[in-house]
Amino acid sequence: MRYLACFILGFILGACLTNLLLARQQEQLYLSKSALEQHLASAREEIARLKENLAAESYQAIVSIEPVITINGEKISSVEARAATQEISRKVQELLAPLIGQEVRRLNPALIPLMLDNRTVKVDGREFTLKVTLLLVSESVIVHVEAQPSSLSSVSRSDVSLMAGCPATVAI
Amino acid sequence: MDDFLAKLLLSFFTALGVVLGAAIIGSLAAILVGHPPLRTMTRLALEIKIWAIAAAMGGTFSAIEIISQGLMQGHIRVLAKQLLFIIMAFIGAQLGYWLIQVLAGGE
Repeated sequence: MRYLACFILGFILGACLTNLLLARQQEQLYLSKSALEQHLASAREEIARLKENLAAESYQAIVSIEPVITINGEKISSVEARAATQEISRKVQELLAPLIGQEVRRLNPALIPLMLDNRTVKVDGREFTLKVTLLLVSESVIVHVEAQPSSLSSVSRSDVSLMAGCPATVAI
Repeated sequence: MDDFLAKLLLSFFTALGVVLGAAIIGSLAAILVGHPPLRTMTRLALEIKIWAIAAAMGGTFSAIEIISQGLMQGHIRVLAKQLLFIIMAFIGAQLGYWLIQVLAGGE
């Protein structure tokens, strides 16, 4: 029994001695650990915030198409011009409808003028040839379209084909 | 006189031992459960200090009884002796706390 008591006492004394010798080192390690944990937690929080911001920024989808139509060429009455503008606007919106919901960043803006250039739209028996002059791509695509009545455009067909090579001003 | 001195030393070392023992052996538990040992040691030493004085006095009730007797019956000598025991216990506990604090890297 005495040996057991000695053993337990020795064990406790040894543990205490070891504790006294290593406590400072252990304390330092514990402090470093908690500092690193804190650092890790703040870094994780920062990453989560950055991810949120990135997701909010990157997912900017097209929600509307806003065509701005300019009638060029031979003079037409204001009523006709208005009707033509409305119809061309509707047609442009229809043609560009597949863009709605597309992510702005992933969109190739050079393709948009190609979707409209040299298309003909018939309004009240008069044909208009379209040409994109300016394109602004953001959540709403603002597209400036020049519409030329067909009689004029058929005369200067070569001009149109030449102009088709000129890219429209594109801004994102 | 020798008896008185022995009692003084006894209260001093008892208080010292209580503080040191509680702090050092108590902090072994901190190691086992993954808590910081030095901080646990100093906290234990601080918390146990007052109890170390009480333990060194052999329980508070008897000491209070003796003090009250000294006051009521005018036994100033007994009262002074008791006060000295308390002071020695306090010094022992304070020394223990100071040792632990120095060990923990404070003061």
